[in-house]
Amino acid sequence: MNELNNDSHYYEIAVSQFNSVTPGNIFKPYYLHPAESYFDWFEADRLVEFCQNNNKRLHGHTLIWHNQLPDWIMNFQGSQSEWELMFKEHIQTICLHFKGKVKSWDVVNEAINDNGTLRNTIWKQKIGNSYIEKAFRYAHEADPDAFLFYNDYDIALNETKRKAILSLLNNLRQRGVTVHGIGMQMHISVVHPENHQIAAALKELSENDFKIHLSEVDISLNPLSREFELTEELLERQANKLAAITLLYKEIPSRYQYGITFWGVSDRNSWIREHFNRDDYPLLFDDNYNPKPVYCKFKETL
Amino acid sequence: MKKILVIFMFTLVFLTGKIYSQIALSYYPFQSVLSVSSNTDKLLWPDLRIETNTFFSNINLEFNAMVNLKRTDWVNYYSGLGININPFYGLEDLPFTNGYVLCAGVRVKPVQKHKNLQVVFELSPYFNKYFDGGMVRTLLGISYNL
Repeated sequence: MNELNNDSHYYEIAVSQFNSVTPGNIFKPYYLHPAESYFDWFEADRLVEFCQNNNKRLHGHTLIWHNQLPDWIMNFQGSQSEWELMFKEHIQTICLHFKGKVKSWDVVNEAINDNGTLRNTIWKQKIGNSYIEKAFRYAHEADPDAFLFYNDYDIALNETKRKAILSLLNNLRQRGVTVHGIGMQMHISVVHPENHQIAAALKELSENDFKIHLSEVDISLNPLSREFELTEELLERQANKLAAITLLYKEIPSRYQYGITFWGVSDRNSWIREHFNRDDYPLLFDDNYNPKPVYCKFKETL
Repeated sequence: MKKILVIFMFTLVFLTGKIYSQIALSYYPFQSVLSVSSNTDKLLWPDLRIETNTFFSNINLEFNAMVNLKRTDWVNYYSGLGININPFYGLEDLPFTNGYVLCAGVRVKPVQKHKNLQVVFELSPYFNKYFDGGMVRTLLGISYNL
């Protein structure tokens, strides 16, 4: 929201170039639910207003994650049933508040380890393995019209993880749980994953009847955090990578294409530089909000 | 130019089939790869692999030049070099070449009365065209010299 409020270039591009919005942080519990009996809707409601005024689809990210939790949740004292009640109230209060305004939710984020096992999150520890099923049930109960997604990274690169996610979600469906789709976080680089790995993932997810959201797309040019010089060749590789992915995405049946979401607008807004403390240029627009080759080729390929 | 290259590659495949009277068909089910080779019992043999069960824009082709390092009644040991391309990328103004492959494998003839039937196991590291990434691939499949 800071960029939308304070940066006119960002605002103009957000309005003119995109038809869907995913908040990077402000829908996470740390921001939205900072105290046990208090929800801070201010920033999130402003984003809703922006989306309504500019006809943007709003994707909620994320209801349940193990990171960016407020201290009160981390220190919550209670029995399993009290944890479950708090968990349910958290999900349903948020879903009800945004009912009709948020089109879809990342209900659970990053619950599977790289080796395919269930991540030992605080939710798993306190509520048990069934917390994922419960999260989807509570979200659907609160807003039956919203599309519900499971969102995770390395789904293309890590076949073991992909199969574990599919197994988990198919099992939930067999138990009558509503799960509409899978968010494939695409924090990738020009090096990995190979295009054929992305193709395999798209094919497998769509064949399992899940909508696919290419979420959190950024294409790193410097994945190994080396001394770095930005070259034309690297920018062209980035453009080719996104174009190849877009071609693949267009080949899955349209009913499974939920959308492509970039994890920021310009390179200056990317989380990568700060998080990994490295020089990188992963997004569609450069630091001065000029379109990069990746933007031009993406537009041609769409 | 890219379109000409695509046509050239398909022509090459066709001519390869004409030149070599005996061909071998192989299928690697775990990787969904279909392969057409010349007689794999010769010292040298070309091999064309096609990725199947995938999207059109992901039908990668791989051309390998193989050499049999040792040939016995039971097993042939071979090695080779290859190039992995995507002909459809050429049509979309994307790089034609995906990467390069180094192959090392065995073709086992488990049934002596039918030596044309072979089981293939291959280790084939793949490098992207920039040589800054890749993967170690393994292939297990079945083959028949027609």
